[in-house]
Amino acid sequence: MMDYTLRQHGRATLDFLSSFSPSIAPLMEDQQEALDSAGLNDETLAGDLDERAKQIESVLAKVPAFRTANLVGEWHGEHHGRTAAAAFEEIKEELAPYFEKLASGGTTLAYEPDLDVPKYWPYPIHRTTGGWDGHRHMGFIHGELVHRYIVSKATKPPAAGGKATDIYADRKNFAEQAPRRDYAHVVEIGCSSGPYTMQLAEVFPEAKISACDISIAQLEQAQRNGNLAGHSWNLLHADGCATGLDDDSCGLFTSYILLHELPVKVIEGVLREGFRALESGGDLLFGDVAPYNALSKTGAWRTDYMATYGGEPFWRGSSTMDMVGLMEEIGFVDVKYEGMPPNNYPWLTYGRKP
Amino acid sequence: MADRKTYPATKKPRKREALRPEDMDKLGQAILSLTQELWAVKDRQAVTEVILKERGIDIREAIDTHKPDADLEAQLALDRQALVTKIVQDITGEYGPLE
Repeated sequence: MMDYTLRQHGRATLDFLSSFSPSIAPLMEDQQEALDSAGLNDETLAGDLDERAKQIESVLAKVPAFRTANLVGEWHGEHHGRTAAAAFEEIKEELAPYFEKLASGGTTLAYEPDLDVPKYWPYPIHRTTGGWDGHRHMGFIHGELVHRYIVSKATKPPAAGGKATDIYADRKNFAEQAPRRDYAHVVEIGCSSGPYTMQLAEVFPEAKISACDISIAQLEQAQRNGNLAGHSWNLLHADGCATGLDDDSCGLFTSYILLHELPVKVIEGVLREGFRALESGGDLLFGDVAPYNALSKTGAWRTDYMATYGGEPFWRGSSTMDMVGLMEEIGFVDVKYEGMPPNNYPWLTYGRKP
Repeated sequence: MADRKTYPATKKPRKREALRPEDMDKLGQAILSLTQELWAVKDRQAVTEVILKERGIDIREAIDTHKPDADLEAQLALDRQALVTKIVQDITGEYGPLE
């Protein structure tokens, strides 16, 4: 972990943001009680998501717990990025030489000044202010401060069990689902600041690891993390649909909690890029959120509602697409599309290139 | 100067409405932001007490069990009442004359 000391105000205000989880759980229980009293369940709720939303929200609009949860969600969405950015501002002078030092080392970063940034990409995903490149040092602000002080202290979403989360252990556990350990070259797409990359390095210590992202701010933080840990990652400023890697050049093409942030057409682009870059017999392994048909109707509505207002405009599309059909059409075999126990989280998407 | 007569205003000024029902959410946001800053102050108070203790000045128990003497109690009562009065005036929208 990077060595820095937040100032008291920055630390206290970030800690404040991580304190909401215990207050939200009872609000969710009250909402479920209201839905139960109204007789809304898998038998009575509509199949169509928008019709279902009208049924549920017309009941919940009268429930104070729903309005309160929305108020807190709005405040959290608007302020987590700002609070973390303010905490960074308090210590940025002392971080500057540290950032410079960590830009050197075995982990390299190939910056592409003329990267063709796709139209869907500049969106404030997660409501993080300005998106992944919302600040010159958003990699540290989001990838370090928001992840460490807020996300890692939050509970999992209701559809994933609602329990306390360990975002680093979750990623390692997922990396271990790969069928082999002897990959010579592992490619991760959408690596952001490197939390999954770090676990890939631990699970596949002999592999060359390449990782790409469209956000240069996040990649810079990934480089710091890689060099701090003594790794030699090959970081690419590239779109996961066009990594620039050679055909048949990797044994594992993987990502973690990425697909729900991509439009369906882009997911197809990523899958095709994976098929191209994988060598024969190579594995594609993506971990993400459960598709809606694996959730209860209420759970799917809840997920869809949180996605709509939580800065996840592509979640519904990715969670309702025919992933298995598309992967088989592209040519993957032995396709698996299943949840990891005990809470179907993450959802595993696997295919092998014959 | 005590025998000079003053003539405070007796008419009420024209008032306008500010926030509308659609501003309610923003008010809620402001309350949460204030709570965040209040927390930062409470956190700083706790840290201050810990650091004082580390430097040999352990005042936490003394603060917790302190019984204000008559003078401090009188001052606290005045300040406390002034704060409560201010907030109640804001909520009712009725303000008395300057004292």
